[in-house]
Amino acid sequence: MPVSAEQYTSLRAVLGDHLMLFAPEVIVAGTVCVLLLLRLFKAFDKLHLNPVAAGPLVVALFLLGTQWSAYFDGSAGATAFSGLIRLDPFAAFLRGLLLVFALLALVLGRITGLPDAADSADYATLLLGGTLGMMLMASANHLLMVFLGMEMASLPCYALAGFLKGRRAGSEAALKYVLYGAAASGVALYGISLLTIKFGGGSFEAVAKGYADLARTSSLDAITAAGTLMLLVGFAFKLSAVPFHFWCPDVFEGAAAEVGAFLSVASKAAAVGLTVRFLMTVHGACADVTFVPKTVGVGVMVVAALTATLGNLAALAQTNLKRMLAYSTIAHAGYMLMAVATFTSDGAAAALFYLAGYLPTNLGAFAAVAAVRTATGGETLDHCRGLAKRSPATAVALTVFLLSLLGLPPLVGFAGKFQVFESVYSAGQSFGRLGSTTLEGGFYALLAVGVVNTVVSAGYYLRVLKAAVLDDSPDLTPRPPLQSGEGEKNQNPLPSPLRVGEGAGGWGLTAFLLLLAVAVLVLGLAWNPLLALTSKAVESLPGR
Amino acid sequence: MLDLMLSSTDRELDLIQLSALAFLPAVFALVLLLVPSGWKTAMRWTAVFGTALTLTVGLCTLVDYHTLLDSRSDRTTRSLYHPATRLDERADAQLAVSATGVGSYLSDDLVARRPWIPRFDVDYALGVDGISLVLVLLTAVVCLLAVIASWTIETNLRTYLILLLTLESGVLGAFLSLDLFLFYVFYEVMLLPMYFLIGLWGGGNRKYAAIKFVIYTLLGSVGLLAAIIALYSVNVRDFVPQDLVKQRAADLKRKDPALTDAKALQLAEVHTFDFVTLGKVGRAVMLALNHQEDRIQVARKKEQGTNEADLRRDRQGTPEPVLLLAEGVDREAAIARLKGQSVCTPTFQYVVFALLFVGFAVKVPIVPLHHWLPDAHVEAPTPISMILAGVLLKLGGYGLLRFAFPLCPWAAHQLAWWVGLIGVVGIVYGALVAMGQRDFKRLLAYSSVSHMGYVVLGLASWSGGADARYWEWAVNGALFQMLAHGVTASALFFVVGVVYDRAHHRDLTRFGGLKEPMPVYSGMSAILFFASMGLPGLCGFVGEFNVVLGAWKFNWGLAVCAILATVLTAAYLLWAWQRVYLGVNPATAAFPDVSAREVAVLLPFVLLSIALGVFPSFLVYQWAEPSVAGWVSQLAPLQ
Amino acid sequence: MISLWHFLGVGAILFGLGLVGFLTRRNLITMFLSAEMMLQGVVINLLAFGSHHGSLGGQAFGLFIVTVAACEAGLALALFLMLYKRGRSLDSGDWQTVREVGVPPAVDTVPLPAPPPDDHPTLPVPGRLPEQAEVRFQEVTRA
Repeated sequence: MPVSAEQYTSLRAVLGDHLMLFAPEVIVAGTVCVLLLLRLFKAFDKLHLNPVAAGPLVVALFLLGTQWSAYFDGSAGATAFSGLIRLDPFAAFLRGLLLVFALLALVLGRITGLPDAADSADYATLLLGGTLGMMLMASANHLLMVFLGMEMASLPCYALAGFLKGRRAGSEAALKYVLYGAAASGVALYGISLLTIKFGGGSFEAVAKGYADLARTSSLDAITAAGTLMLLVGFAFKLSAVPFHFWCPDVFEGAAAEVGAFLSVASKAAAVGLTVRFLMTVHGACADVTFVPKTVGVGVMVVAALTATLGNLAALAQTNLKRMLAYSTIAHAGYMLMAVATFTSDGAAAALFYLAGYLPTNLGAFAAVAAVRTATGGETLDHCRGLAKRSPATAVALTVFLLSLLGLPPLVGFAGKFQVFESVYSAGQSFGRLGSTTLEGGFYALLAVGVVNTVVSAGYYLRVLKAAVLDDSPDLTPRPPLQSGEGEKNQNPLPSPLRVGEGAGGWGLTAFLLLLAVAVLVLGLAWNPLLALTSKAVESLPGR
Repeated sequence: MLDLMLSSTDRELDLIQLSALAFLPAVFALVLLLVPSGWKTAMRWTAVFGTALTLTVGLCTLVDYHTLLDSRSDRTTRSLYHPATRLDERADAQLAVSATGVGSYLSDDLVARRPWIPRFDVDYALGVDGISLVLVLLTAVVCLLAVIASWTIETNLRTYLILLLTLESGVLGAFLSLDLFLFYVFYEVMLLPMYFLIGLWGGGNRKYAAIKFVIYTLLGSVGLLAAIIALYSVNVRDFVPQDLVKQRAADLKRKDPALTDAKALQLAEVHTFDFVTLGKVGRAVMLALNHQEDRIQVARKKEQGTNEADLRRDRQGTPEPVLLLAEGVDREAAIARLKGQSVCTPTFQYVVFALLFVGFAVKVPIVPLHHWLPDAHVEAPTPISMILAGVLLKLGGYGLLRFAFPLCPWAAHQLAWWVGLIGVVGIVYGALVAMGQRDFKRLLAYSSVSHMGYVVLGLASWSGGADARYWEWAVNGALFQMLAHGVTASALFFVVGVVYDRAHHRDLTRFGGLKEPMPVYSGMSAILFFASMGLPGLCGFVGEFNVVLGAWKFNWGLAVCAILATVLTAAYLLWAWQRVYLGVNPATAAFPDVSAREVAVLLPFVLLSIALGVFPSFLVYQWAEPSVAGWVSQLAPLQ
Repeated sequence: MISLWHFLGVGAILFGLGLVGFLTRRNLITMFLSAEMMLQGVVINLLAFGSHHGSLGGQAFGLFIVTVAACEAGLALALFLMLYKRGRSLDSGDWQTVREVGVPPAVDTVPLPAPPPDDHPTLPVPGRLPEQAEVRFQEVTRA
């Protein structure tokens, strides 16, 4: 089809606008390419490339910040690139969150020395590549972009999980992640194909319109149900929601703590964003307010309750800190899903706030585990004992992170949890007013599950706290790094490429931890700035 | 926070004063961080200075509060009992100012409110009345003496003192909060310092005790959180100044320009964590559930000089009106709206009351939930036991008095007998178990369970109508019992601490004969023992007597049980006294008598327990009773 | 007449075979091939859908899937190669080091046949006898 001159000019102008909004992603992608090329030059062999990668991220964040005002007054924020993605405040919030996280992860990697100078290019490439995929997930508005985003986010994560090459557990983690991931993406993709066929197109609008037609007849046919279910399986895999959580503990235990933080926070943020956007778009199009909550929503509620409960119960039995944090991650995914299950913009805002608070908290917790590892060479509860005597500052920071995860005021974890519970309760109220007693009761039950789970989670968070602060230090002389291959003989093999002992991490790591702890406290006391952002972000979502 | 106070155009003195009262200990905790690590004595004196300063501010607040009461006393009402001085009225006036922007914040009303998280209607709201002030002063005194009692702590002194001061800040903040959310934040802030204080400086089984304490408390407080969220969901638009509703309607219209003005006004909802407003909803619900909704009336303008008494005179023969709805509210529409909400269902009331009750019952502790207390007391170091018994348990009683009863009066009334029964079971059970103890501290822990039972019984002695004054006595008694128990229990824990420092065990069967080597100590402890026992003339008597007096009208069976339990109290305390102090025991003969520092801790307690027993009215009741009277006068006529 | 449904049927069968294969097989490569087969089922679905509607969307989608599948395969096969070098086995059951505390590793009731020895034994470098190579050399000579 020939394009007229006017059309061409207007298309160019539109493309220019969209590219400007898309600039952060472009910068990240460019950085990935540059990093790969830098390895060609000998001069960069000795240079740690994490700071080099951090520079463009700062620029990208700055760009996003300058665009925020455009998002805020509504002059920007619509679908871009012929409807494939949607660059609205909601996406901008999550993209900003992901960029901030990538930046912090790079800094953490530089401090703990997880990638040494030789490996730093690989590490930064994978990290940024994953972040790019997650940013696409957060802004996807088409099922094709959903698939591409999920794959772009997953593939670097597979490699990151096995980043500790010499370590058997690391390889095993990568193996499990790859296999699970391949199958999950296959299932999700089949769901996508079913939905595309059923609704004649892959854009969220087409899916929403199809759902709206179904809502009019109040019936969900088999193909739509199967397609949605399989797509949600893919989301659940990324979220590590029960029953698709099995990869999570093994991968976290096998991977380095720094990678665990990336998998638990960034990956979760993108998956929550994607789930919220998909479900809210579908829900917003239906005239019958209870149609989606009664069909898909009930499933999300059940999964949320199971995820939170199972995550917390399983975490009780763990002795490996990373494995425990993996189960805690699962539990927190459950809390976030509770907010998602409400199908209200308040719930979505609560989920976003939860994520924003979860970022410094969980990153801090994993960084503290990394600090324990660099100091003692192990990551179990035993290695944590006597931390307060060895390194009081780390112990204080770890206390703050654990309590925030537990949800005690005045920390940011409480702020998130409060909003989630509040949104769940008010969803119950509003569905009660609409006359749907099953949904009303369901939400109250969900709230009860959440509340009880909070107490259960105290069991293991306090166990770590007890080990770190109350217990005496066992005799743990730092051992020299083991050679690769020797790990099989050791029950708690030491990650071989990692630095251990005095001097590793050092004051930089302590300062990093304390900074995050202060952020957790400040965000917990002053909610207003973050609340303004989240409530603005969810305004762009369809729905009520 | 500081920024908030300074930038505000209306500078409010009491905002600064109350904030200082709550945060002074925390500020001194920060100051402690700056003290060089070798200077242990300097750290101790810093902590003493901080707590003493807090007590001073507390006493200044007492003077201010008395002035406030006095300023309104006139000939038409009993002295110091003017309704306008009640916390509710003051908080309402403050709310009206902040809603309309008309008028200015008063510096002398001892109520302060600033928005904190507007998105969720959370206010930074502090205020005092007689009920909270009693406990604030008790906290300040006990914490000061606990710091002096901590002089022997050597390990990690700085951390210890910081945690102790943070704990005090949390407790004071909780007593001062007018906002449920703020209360919850302070309530939880106390949890962790206590965990570490028991877990790091406690006895042999300290880790177990610490974690048990936290799990029990957390169990209660998450229930509390659920109840708070449920209360927050209530639409209180008919109970707040109507300008606020108009503001909300304007906000709605800004969001959705398609709405008409009338529709927006109709849709506008107001939610709040302010317990004064929520208390009004609770009372309205009680009337509605008792099919007396014709008594719910709209408040009139204050200028017309009508108060409830005048109104009552106007409407001879008609049911007594209760002015709950805000000025300018359409009464019929408001009642219909109220009845349409889930708050106006028995299930809601029962569930929320149960959650609040259990949440605070864990702290009191009420009998089936008391299990953490003996362990925590036994393992905690002496000064922490003092704070635990003297202050933290009072938070439970305060919570019941301030939140559970006024917020869900209907359920409280329905369940009053059961609550009273639980109280009496606590009294008897605590006393019986205390009698069987060999560990001195464990005995005192169970005596706490027993004594706090009187508080619950006093609160539950719901008598309405003409008998309301009995309930007033009982609630007064409950409040006084909290104060008296705070004094005697923390003193007795220190008494145990003194003897433990010398004997290094707490086994009652191995003591004896302390009277000979330690006459001063024995004399002081005798007074404290008798005060705890409830001997007339000492502080323990006043509270128990008032409670039993009030409970008699409520249910004589419960009252008789409570009276008989005092015999048990006397039995276990006298028996303990006999086993520790009387007789001759070569093992204890060489013990030195109390040191000057120990006297400095014990003497204030002794003097307080005598003074409170002899002049209860002059020292406490004259300024605390008006608040209790106000509390009862709100709830009693609803029956 | 071959309708859209026939294509969808083939797609579903491929997907189902892949899923069953993934769940039942334990050879890493076979497992991964099964997972890829699931993707191929999807591609058939999408292509059929594209030609049915006469749009290019399905084809474009299919191309992306093939590309992504190739990336995934590259990564996964590299990983498998690494694992094979380490353990000389492609049995997924060999990888159970990381598991729940207190849960014993899953053991087969019928053991798998032992892997055949390498066809090309690594011979020791003349003049020096590395320990590992020596062992392997002895194994081979014994066989």
